[in-house]
Parts: sequence; structure tokens; C-alpha cells
Amino acid sequence: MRFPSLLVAIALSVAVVGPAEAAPSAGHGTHAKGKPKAAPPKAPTSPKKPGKKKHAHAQAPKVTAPAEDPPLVRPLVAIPEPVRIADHAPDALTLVAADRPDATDVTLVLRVPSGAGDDPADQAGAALVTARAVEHALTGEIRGLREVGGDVAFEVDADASVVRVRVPRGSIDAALEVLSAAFSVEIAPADVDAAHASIGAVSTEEAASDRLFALAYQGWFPYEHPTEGDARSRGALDDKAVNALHRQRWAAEHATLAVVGSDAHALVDAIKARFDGSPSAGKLAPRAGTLQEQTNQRTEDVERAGAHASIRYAWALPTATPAEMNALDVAARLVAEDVEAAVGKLSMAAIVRARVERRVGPSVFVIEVDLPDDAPMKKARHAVEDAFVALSTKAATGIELAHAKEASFLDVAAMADDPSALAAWLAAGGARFEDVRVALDAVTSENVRAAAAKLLGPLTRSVVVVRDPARAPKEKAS
Amino acid sequence: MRRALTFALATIALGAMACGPEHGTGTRTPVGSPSASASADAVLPIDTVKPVDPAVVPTVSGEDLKNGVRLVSVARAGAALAEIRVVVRVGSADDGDHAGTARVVARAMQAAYGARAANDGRAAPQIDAIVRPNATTFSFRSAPDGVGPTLKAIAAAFGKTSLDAAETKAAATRLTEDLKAERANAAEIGPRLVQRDLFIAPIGRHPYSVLLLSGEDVAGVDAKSASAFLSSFYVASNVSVVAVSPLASDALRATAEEALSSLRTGDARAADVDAPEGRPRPMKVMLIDAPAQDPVEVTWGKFGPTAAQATDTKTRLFGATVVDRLARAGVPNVRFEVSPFRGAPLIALVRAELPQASAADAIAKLHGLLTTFDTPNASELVAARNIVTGEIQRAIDPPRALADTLALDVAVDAPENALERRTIELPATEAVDVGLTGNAIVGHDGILVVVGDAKVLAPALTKFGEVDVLDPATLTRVRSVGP
Repeated sequence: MRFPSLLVAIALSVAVVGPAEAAPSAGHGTHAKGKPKAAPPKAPTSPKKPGKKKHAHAQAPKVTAPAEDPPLVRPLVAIPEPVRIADHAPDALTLVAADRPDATDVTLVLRVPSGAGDDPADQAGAALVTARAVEHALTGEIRGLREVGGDVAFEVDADASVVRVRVPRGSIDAALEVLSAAFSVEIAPADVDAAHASIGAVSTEEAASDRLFALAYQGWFPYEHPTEGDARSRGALDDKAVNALHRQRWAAEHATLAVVGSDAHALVDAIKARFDGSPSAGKLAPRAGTLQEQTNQRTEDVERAGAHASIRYAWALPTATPAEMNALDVAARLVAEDVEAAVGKLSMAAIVRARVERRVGPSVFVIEVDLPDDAPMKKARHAVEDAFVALSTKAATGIELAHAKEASFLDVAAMADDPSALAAWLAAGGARFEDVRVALDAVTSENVRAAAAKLLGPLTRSVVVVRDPARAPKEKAS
Repeated sequence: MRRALTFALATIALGAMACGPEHGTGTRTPVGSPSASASADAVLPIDTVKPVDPAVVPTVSGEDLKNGVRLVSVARAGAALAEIRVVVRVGSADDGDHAGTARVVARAMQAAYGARAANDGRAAPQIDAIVRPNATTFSFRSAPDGVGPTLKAIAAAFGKTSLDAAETKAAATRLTEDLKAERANAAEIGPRLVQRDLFIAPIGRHPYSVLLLSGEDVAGVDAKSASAFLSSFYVASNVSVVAVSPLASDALRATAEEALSSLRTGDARAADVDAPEGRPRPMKVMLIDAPAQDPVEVTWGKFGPTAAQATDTKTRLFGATVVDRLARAGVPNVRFEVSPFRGAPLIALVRAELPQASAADAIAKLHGLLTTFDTPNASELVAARNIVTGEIQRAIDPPRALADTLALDVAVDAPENALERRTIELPATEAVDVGLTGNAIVGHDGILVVVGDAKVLAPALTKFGEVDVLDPATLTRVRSVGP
């Protein structure tokens, strides 16, 4: 299962090398206030009370540090906190807005509790088919939105379906037309056919990720399957089934609409006038499934002609506390560099991505290591796993920790400047940035070491090794 | 890869329409069947242009620092972070005899930066690098107090007088992994092949055509050539810094002045690429045979009008019209991009992502719209202006997008107020201008690259001409299919 959405993955991943632009989206924050359905970005647990803002501008010593000077470490810098407005539309749609006086247009993010984790047990892929059918059913409205200069994207991840819209301020009606119709539209058979047709083949890399998460979440159905499900599980999804799922899940009373723009109060009023009432969809059924305790490392090989070599690790984190999750965010930054260095000692280049993926259910810690196609995989694996051990046995230095925390917080802070990311953060119930900052700043080397020792052990990890057997060198069994 | 295209790119497109090498029109949304639904005709009445609000077009300041570095900045008082781009105006077109030198040096600079920033917790933990034909752009975001330390560490990295064999090899080895990913990316291979085959020099290879590097290419870059590139080109007069930040202009200038004072001086690299004419090329159709590729990736590319900057807005309006017409014809997953080059015509790209099951039908529609271009009617012109307006607004906000937009303009020597000029030109550009520009672009020539199942798609593609079927691993021709 690709979760969270790739955007989230990009936001949280630590690309040690490469030109990727981090697209900030999620990763840190507290749970949604009063709405347990929302994805829980980070739950900061701060030993300090928020409000004691540390203005690093003023605090940072004026130092021009030559290499021989002691490392310069300073607290994370506080960032401007957007003013938030919470409200409800007459049809019970939850509204959250952030005022951004210099916004050039209006950004809206609708979050509907219809993720792959909500798929009926025998209909994996249902949330995705439904979202795409909705999108297809709104072809005319979407074209209308684009013709006034707007743009829209539909996404589905493990926990939600999300519709992102940006529109010039004077054309907000076109955006609200799309978003309100997303609830009320009747999905035709042609829309469902188009949705099925839009779901294509799975690449080797995606198949490897799917296997990794299936291993990590073994025993807990909602997160085991890929967002797309498979052809068989989607086979039963006709227009009747899709409309039923749409009526149940795509209901205003279960959804959250976040809006970011200038004069947010006026925007909220405009939205309330549009979402003025709809029939109740009833309560949402709770998810089934329980994550079984993992006591043995699970490993699978994905061997395909043309596959690029990689090793992927995942740990499900059912027992992680919010404070430990913060520590693992920092750990992800640290371990990526350690793994790269460890593989480098074998005279190989590795591209390493490490991240915490937060879910409504148990989150997961992921490390992906891309290797040369002719890499000796066993040797590489030993090197990588030695780096994991170091994470739980060796304390990071002060400057290493500072850089890891800075990198982690910059991704979150960037959301304050990005209306699309900010709206997605708000819709998911993201925490105040100051709370995130304080919580991250409080992470110590010992926190990281302890969290890694507790949660990233060898017995609880799942491993998927990807390679092209024709290109991989023969290695002796260890 | 498929999911990356259908989800991540759609999202990124919303957040940062201008973060790639091109500026785009349209989006990549997942649903895309040519069979329109019943509500497809329920279009909102489009009768008014929503012009870009002049109040939101940022004031771009440009000034030279004492050592010749150009500082291009936009002050955003309310921003949380600073978005900085350090643009070195040399790129792959300056590789000389060793293809890949610019990229190896950029990699080495990233590593050198890490070593020099390691002792200052304010400095950005890492910098990213993108090498384009005309420029190498290093980017970072930081807290405001991190701008100085980060720039200082970058300047220290650039100040290296040479790269040794180990540094060069390490950079080349890492780069090899990037190249592998690039070649495997079905979404990116099309634009690269278009660029490669449009820029055909009269004799030999044009510098802008060197895009599809191999591991062998970069392994051939030695320390000597990398060092020569570094010492000759990474000099103050080739560097521009683009900053979109909460720092006041005086504070930013003082910070940059101090941090970059150690940069080497030297001659600016002249824009001396051999500019090909924007002459039409016979239509070349390449079909990369990938039966499992779904959605099918389609890239159509042509040179735009020769005077690129003067006609930039007209080209964008042409692209917006094409995208809108395709959407009305039931092919919604199309976007338009332009790739600008210094001293050469820009390339206009139409890119489509088509579900495998309906790709052949959609390609037939593409053919109709990409071989003739009618002057837009009043309603189409209004829609096109609105679409480009939306693009401009998304290029202004968030700051990351604005920094990328300005860096791209810097790279191709576009005026620093190009964004403002576009907003002024937009409402003044009439349908007849768009029609003339469009007619100069479309026609039975250019490059078409399709990644998908050759058995299904080759017959549909023969409408465009003879189809070269390429092997997906080697990108060499395995057979041709005639009309």
C-alpha cells in the first residue's frame, strides 16, 4: 500500500542525495481536535510549555564559524503561526481556515474519510475507484474550474480521499461548485468504467512497496493492501457499489474543508452559504482488524527482469508514544546518512530514503535503500543493518542532532508558506507549528537511541529485497 | 512510477507549477477517459477574464554585489522561511568534450557543502542541485538566520581550487544512480528525447542535445576536467542568488555580501551556444515499447517562435487553448509546458497521460488538434487567459515556486521583471496573435515520443508518420512501422 500519499512520503523522506524538492505536506502535529477520524500528524509531547518562544534571531550568537570552532547549535527558530478559524457549515461540514493576507489566490482542501484503510474487506481499491469515479463524474465542473484559472487534484491514501483546489479569488464559486458537487453527484456506470480504466499496472518498485507494507501490517487488514487493491478485488465494484460507498463516506458531516487565503472570515462565509444542508449519512462504521505482534523478521524477495536493486525495511509502530514518534522523525534523518556512509564503505553509491509514515492506525517507519544493480546484496544488507544497530547503541553528536532536527522542522515550517500544504495540514488536524517546534526541539540523543532500541529492532522489521536475478552477482549463503 | 504520476505529480503541480524545468499549463489528474460523462457539458459560463491582481505580483529587485554576484530578491515579510536559489550560469551545454562534467561537479559541490556546513546548526542541512543546459541551480530553504551560514558554506565549496580523483569518482558514482532513475522514468524520457532530437546541430551534436547521459559518460569525467570546469566557471560573475525571504533587502544584501565574499573572481561565461534555427523538422515519431506502461505517456514537442521572450505569452496562450480544446474533446489529462533556452528558441511541449485502454482513441484526437490550429474564438481566448492567469498566480505563491520561477528566468537571461511583463502582456494579447503563433508551432513536424504498448499504439501513431519502435532499455530502434 502506498501510504501515506506520495506527497506525504516526499515531505517526510530524507533524500540524502538528489535534487528532489521537498513538497511539504505532513508529518508533524497533534490529532484533530474532537475528530478522531482525521489522520494524526505528529502528536508533540513537549516537556516545555508552549508559549516560551525562543527567537533565535535574537539569540543566535554572531559567529562566523571557521572549521576549527566548536559546533554552533541553537534552538529551532519559531515561525509565524497562521491565524486559524474553526467553524461548521449548515450541513455539518467541518471548516477550518487560515488567514494569509498576501495570498495570491484561494486554496481549498477537502478531506473525506474514505481511504484505502476503509475499503470493505472484499473490495480492496474501493476508495480509489470511488474517488476517481467522482472526479470523472465532475468532468464538466472541473473543466469550468480550469477555464477560470483554477486547478484541482484528487488523491487517495490509506486514511482519506483528498481534493485539492486552487482558484483565483474572484472565481471561488467555480471551486465551490466542484467541491459541493463532490458530495451530491450521482455516479454513472460510465464514470465507474473510466475509474477502473484509469488504474494501471503496478511497477516493480510499487510492487515492492506493496509487499513491504503487507508484511509490516500482516494481521491488520486495513493497511495490508495497496490503495489500488487488485483487479479481482475491484471487479465487484459496479456503479451500485460505488454509489453506496460514496453516499456513506463522501458526506459533508464526516468531512473537513480547509481554506487558506486572504480575508479568511469572508471565505468561510462564502463556503457556509454554499454548503447549506444535506441529508445525514449516518455514522461511519469503525475499521476492523488488529495488528498482531511481530516476533520474527519477515523477508521477501522480489525478483524481476529489469528491476533495479533495492532493499526496503519497514517497522509497524503500534506501541510508539507521541514522544517516540518525534524521536523517530529525527532518527530517520540520522539513519539515512549513516546507511549511506555504511554502503559507501563498500565502494557503492546508495540513495537512501527514511521516513515515518503517520496513519490513523499504527504508523510505520520506512527505510528504502537503492543500490547499484550489480551490488552484492548480502554484503550491502549487512552494512545497512549495522547502521541500524548503531542508531540504537550510539548517541548522535550535538551537531548531528541539531541538523537532523533542523531538517525535520524545516519541512513542517515550509507548510506555513505553502497554501496547498497548509490547507492539507489543517484539514488533517495538524498541530500548531509552535507545538511541533517545541516538541522537536526537546528531542535528545538519548530519546532517539531509546526509541530506536525499542521500536526498530531486528525481530519486528519487515524486509523486501528487490533485484534483477540476471544482473545480481552470485553470493555465497551466509 | 504510475502512482507517482497520478498522485504525487498532480499534487505537486498544484503546489509548485513552476518547480520543474518548464512552466506548465494543465494538470495531471488521475481520471482520464476520453468518454465524457453526462455532466461534461455542464460548463460554467466563461465570459470574463480574471486578470492577475497587480497587487500580488511581487516586486523583484536586482542588484550587483561588490564581487559581481547578482542578487535577485523578493521580500516577503510574512514568510516563515527563506527560499534561496544559487544559480551558476553554466550547465550541461558547457560540458565540452566530457559529457556529464557539469553534473559531476554539481554533485561534488553538494558533498563539499555538507562538509563545510557540518559545524553550524543554522546552516541548511543539505542543498539540492539541478543541472540544466544553461545553469546549475543549488537550492535550499532555511530559517532566516540560516541564510548567511548556508551561503557561506556554499561559497566555501565553490572556492575549492580543484577536485581530486576520489571526490570526482564519488560524485560520478552517485550520479550513476541518478541516471539510472532518470532513464527508468517514463514521464521524463519523452521531454529528454524531444530536446535531444530537436537540437540537432548542422554538424555533430548540439550542446543542448546532451541529455541522456549514461554511466559510461560520467565515468569518463576525470578530476582534471572536473577541476577545470570548477575553477573556470564557478566564479562570482557567473553566480546569481535568488532570494524569496522575510529578510529586509538591506539585511539580505549585507548577509549575501559577507557570505559570498570568498567566491573566486573570473570571466563570466558567455552565452556562445550554437543556436540552431527554429526551422521545422520532419515529424519524428518514437514509440518506446513498454507493454506494461499504464498510463501511456505522450510527449509532443516543437520549437516555439524564434524570438522566445517576445512571444512567450502568446505561446502560453496557444498551449492553454490546446489543453482546453483537448479537455472539451474528452482528453483531460494534458498539460502544456515551455522549456526556455539561452540564445535559442524555446521548446513547446504538450504532454498527456492516457489510460492504456483508451490511449489509441485519445492519440487520434491529439493528432487532430496538433496538426492544425484554428484561431481561438472569444470564449476560448477568455478561458486561455484565465488558465495562464492561474499559472502565473501559482508561480508567485508559494515562495518556493516563486524562487524557482525567478531562478529559471535568471538561467536563460530573461529580464528580472519577466513575471510582471507576462501579467501585462496577457490581457493585451489578442486571438489573432495566438492564432498566428499557434499556426507557426503546429504542423506535420516536430518530435512525438510515446511510452506504451507498441502492438496497440503503433497503428494509431502512424497518423503522424512513420513510427520508430524503440527498445525501452537501450532506446535504440528495433523496427519501423509505416503509415
